[in-house]
Amino acid sequence: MSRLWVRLACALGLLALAMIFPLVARLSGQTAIWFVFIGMPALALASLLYGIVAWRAGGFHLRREHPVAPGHQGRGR
Amino acid sequence: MRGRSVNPSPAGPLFQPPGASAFSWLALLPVLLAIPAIVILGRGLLRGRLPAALAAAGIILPIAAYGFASGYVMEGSKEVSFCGSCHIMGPIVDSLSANDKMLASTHYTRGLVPHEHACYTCHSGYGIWGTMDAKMAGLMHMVRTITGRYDLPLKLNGKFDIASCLNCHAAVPSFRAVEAHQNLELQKQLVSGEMSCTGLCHPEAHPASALTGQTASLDARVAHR
Repeated sequence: MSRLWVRLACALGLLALAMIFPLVARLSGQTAIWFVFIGMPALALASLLYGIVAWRAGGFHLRREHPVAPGHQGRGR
Repeated sequence: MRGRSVNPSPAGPLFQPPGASAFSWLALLPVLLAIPAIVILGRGLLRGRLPAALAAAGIILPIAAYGFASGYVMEGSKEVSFCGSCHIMGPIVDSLSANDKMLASTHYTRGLVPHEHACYTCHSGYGIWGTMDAKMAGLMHMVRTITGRYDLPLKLNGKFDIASCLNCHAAVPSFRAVEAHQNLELQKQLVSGEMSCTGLCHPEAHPASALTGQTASLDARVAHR
């Protein structure tokens, strides 16, 4: 299931990046509107989506390989 | 930048402002950042997962690309051709070079405002908050363009910030020498926005026909008939 969300986040990110090319090629009201009202929300949504997926997968959790029990010295000391 | 331009310039280096042909690095940087980001996100799209290092790059690179692209938009949106690229603003931008004795046209054709940033110079207000207000107003222009929620003839939203005029005129001896300008009561009314420079003493900024979305050339044809 998380792969689907990652794919969706990547697709939204690609959509957002696609808005940069017409903007740079021809800066006009139309391309600026695409950039601001399609690209920026797509990028924000992609970042949020990927952040949630990563958080649910434990990506932002602090991990200790060798937990030290209270009152004990660390390994190898 | 293409789009509507009011510069019917003959060719030659003498008619190019300094730096006009300079390469825009601000346009290249977002592309340089977007290309590796596309490769990374494309890989994520195909495989459905990304290693931690690539995921970090896949988030940071697009955000950085958008940061530079936003700077490019901020800078590029000061240009007259950008303002004229929306069809409703086209006639107003066209009227700048018409030399029709209107205030904006007079400033533009005599080179009293920077040609590339003529709209922005008068409509941005003064100082950093003037810039912020102009960008917010530009964003609202986009919203109104998308939704079609604007009324014709176009009207200035609120009072015109006279600080834009005074930024150039305040210290000019010929401006100070005008008897009416020395009237303290009048000065107070002008600075407070109770009274406008245009209308009574000076011509309107833009021709009424341009504010209705009609082109000056069309008006001329209609008047000729």
